[in-house]
Amino acid sequence: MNKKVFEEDLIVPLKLDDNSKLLREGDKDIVLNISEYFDYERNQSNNYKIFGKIRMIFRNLYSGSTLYEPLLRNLYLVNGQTSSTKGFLPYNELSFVRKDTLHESNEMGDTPNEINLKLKGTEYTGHTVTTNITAPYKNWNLYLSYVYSGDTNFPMTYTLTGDTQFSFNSGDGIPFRVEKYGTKYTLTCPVEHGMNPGEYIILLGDNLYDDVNKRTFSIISVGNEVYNSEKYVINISSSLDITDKILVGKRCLDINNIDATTSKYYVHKHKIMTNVDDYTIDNAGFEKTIWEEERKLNDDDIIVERNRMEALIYDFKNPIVLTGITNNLGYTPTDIYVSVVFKNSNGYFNYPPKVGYKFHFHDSWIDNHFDGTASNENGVSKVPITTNTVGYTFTGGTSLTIGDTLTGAFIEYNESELKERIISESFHKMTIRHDIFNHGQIDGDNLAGASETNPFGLFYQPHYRIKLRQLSPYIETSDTNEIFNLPENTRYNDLEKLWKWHDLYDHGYIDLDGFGTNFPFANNTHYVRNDINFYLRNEQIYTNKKDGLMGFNKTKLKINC
Amino acid sequence: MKILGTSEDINIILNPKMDINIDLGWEENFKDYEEDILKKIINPIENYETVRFAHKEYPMPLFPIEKQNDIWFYFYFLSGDTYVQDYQPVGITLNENSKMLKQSTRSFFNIEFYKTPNDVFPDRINRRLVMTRNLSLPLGEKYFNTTIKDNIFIPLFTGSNIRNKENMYLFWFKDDSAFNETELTGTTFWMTAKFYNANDGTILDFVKSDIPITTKINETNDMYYKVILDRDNYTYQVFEMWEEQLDEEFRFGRSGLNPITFYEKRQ
Repeated sequence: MNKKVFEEDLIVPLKLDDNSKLLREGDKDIVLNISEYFDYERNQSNNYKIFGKIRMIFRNLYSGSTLYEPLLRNLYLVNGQTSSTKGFLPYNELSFVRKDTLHESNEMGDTPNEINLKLKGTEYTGHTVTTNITAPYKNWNLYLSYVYSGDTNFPMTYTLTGDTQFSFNSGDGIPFRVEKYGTKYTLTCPVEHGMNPGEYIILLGDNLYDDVNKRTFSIISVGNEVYNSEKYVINISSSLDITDKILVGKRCLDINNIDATTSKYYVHKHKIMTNVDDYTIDNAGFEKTIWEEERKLNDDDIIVERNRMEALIYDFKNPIVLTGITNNLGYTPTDIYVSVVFKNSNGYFNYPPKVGYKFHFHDSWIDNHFDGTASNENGVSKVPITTNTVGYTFTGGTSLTIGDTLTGAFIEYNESELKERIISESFHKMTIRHDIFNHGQIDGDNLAGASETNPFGLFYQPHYRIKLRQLSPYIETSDTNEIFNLPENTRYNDLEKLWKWHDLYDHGYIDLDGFGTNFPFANNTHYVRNDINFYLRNEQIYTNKKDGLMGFNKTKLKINC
Repeated sequence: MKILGTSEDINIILNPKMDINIDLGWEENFKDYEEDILKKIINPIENYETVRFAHKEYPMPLFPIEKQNDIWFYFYFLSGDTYVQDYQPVGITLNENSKMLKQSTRSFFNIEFYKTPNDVFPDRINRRLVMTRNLSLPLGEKYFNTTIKDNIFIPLFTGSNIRNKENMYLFWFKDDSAFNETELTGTTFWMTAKFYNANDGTILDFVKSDIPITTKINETNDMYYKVILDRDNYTYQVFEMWEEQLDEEFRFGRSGLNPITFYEKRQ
C-alpha cells in the first residue's frame, strides 16, 4: 500500500445543476401597442418622398440690346422706345415653366359643327420650338442628389480689388486678407473661419516656408472692434515678415499632432439619383411671390414679360429608397439634396455655368476665379442646339442622368469633432452671350474686371439640402472590442484610442435643442416637404455680396437685396 | 459520493452538464409568427397614396415633329333630329350663355369612371363608380358668335399640362395594395358622361356615337370608353372597348380626328 494513501473514505461533493424550462402550453397573449408599432415601422422604413414648393425670387434688371432677330421680336423694350433694339431679356428665358408654347387651338368653321384646328403660340420663332410638354423642362431641371465624395483639388482663386489675387486648391484651406501691425498680423476671412483662441492656424502663401511647422501659428485672439467680427477675424503674432496680401489657412487643434488634428477642406461632389423625367413641376394654384409682374405688348402685338412671379410645386414621382449608398464619410447619407441645374436649351447663355463660392462675389469687381474655364461645372454636358437661323451656333446642356456628378458646397471637416462645417454653399454663375444680348457684361466700366473671358451675369445656389435623418450634436465614445455592435458612422481615433460616433436619432424624436426629424409617415413612406426660395441674383446690381465682416451686419447699406 | 481509500488508481467519470432544450427555437419561431401576423393580417402595409396620371403624349397633327398631351372632348346635343355643338337645345340661350347666368355656370358635364370586377364589360349591375370629373360650362372653349356679337361657350373641352389641367389629369392609387382581396384591382376604367342641366334640373345620358333612332342602344357597347392607366409612366390612354382596338392608332382624345365624342342619348 502506498504510504501516502490514507485509509479513510474520501468524499467528493458533486453539484448537479439542473436547468429546465417548462414547455409552454396553451395561448400566448401579446399586447400590441399601436404607437410603439407605428414607431417601429416608421424607423424601419427607408422610403422618402420628396416634394415642395419652389419660388423664383428674381428681378430682371439687365437692359441690353440685340441684333438677333428671334430674340429681338420677344424683347421687353425699355419704356418709351419702339422699333428699338434695346430692352430686357424676356422672362421666358429664365422661367421654370415657359409660356411661349406652340399648341393647338380650335376655330369655328363656317358650317355647323365645323371646328378647325390651328396652331397658336409661337408658331415660328426662327429659334427653337417649345411645346406644352417641354415647357417645364426647357430652362431648368430638378434632380435629387447625395454627396458621395469630396474634392480637395478644386481650383480656386480669391481676388481683391486692384487685381490682387491668390490661387489655391480647395484642400489648402480658406482665404484670408492680411494686415500687418508690427509683429502682429490680423487675418480677415470673407467667410466664417470657424477657429477659436488657443487653436492654431496653418497658413499657405507665396512667401511662406514649405515646412508646415514654420507656418503654423498660434491664434492669440479672434475679432476686432466690429460687432460679430470674432467669426471673421484672427489675430496672430509672428517674427516672420509676412508680405503676402492674401493667405489661405487651415484650422489645427494641436501643434504637437498636426496631421491628426488639422481640419480637412474640400468641396462636396454630388451624385445624381434621379433622371429628368422623374419629377413634375406645376404652378402652385394662385400663389405669387411678392413683386409685381411686368408685361406689355411689343411692336408685333406679342405679349412679352420682363418679370413673372413664379411659385411652383415640384414632386419627385417615386420615393427615394435610402439604402445601398454611402456618403463621403462612409455611411448611409443623412442628407440628400434637390439640385437645380440651368439647362440653357435656347443657348442664349454661355455654357456650362461656372462654380463659385460666397467669397467669389464682390460688390464692385469680378473675381478672377471665374476667368476662363477653370471654374466650369464640368459635370454637365454640352450639346449643339438646332435653330432655324443661319449664321449663329448655339450650345445648351443635356439632361443629367443617374450617376452624373456635380460640384457642391465648400466644407471643413475635423476628424476629432466628426463634423462637417459648411464654409459656403456652392453657386452657379451664368452669363449671357454678349454677341446675342449685350448688356455691357464684358465692359470693365460696368463692373471692374469684366472682360470677354470673365463677363458678369447671374448667379444662384444649385443644391438645396434636405435632412432625412438627424445625427446627435454630441459625440458618443467607446473603447470596446466588440466592433460589430458599433453604428456605421463610427470612426476610430488613434490619438484618443477611442471609437467615436454621433448617435442616429429615431424619427419622431426631437431633442431639447430642436434637433430631430418628424416627417408625416404613411404608406410605408416618409413624406418630406422641402420649400425652396430660389434666389436668382444679378451679379452687377445685387450689392449685398460683401463678406460677413464688412457687409452682413450693415443692414442700412443694403440695397437691391 | 464516497470513494474508498485504495492503492489502486481511481477514475472518476463525470458527465458534463446536460441541458436538453426541448423548446429550442420556440421563441424565435413565435417571433417570426408574430411578425408574420402583424405584417400580413393585423397591420399589412397598404399604399393609399394617389398619384397623378396625364394623358399620354402623341404627335401634334399640325406639327408632327413635336408632341403634346392635350385631351379633347366633344359633346353634342339633339336639336330635333340632328346633333349640334350648342347649348341652345338644352334650354340655355345664347344670351344666358354669353352673360354667364347661373343656368350656364352651374350646368356641367360629369365624366364618370367605373370599375368592374376583373375588368369585364360594364353594365348597370356590375359597375362601381370610383371617380368623376366635372367639366363646367365655362371651362369649355368659346368663340365669337356673330348673331349676338359676343363670346359664347360651346360644349367642347380641351385640357393640357399647361392649360385647363383639371380637364386632363386623373388621380388614382399608385398600386393596388389598397384593393387587396377585392375584384376591383387593375388599371382599366370605363368612362361615360352625363349632363346636369341647371336650367331645368334634368340629367342627360350620352352615347359614344350618332346612333340612328331606329337602332336600339346597347348600354355596354355604346356608352363606355375604355381608359387604361400606365403606372410605370403615370399616363393614361382612352380606347374603344374591344381588344383589337387597343392600339395607338385607335386612341381617342387626340386633337383632330380622334376627340372623345359624346352624343346625347335618344329617349
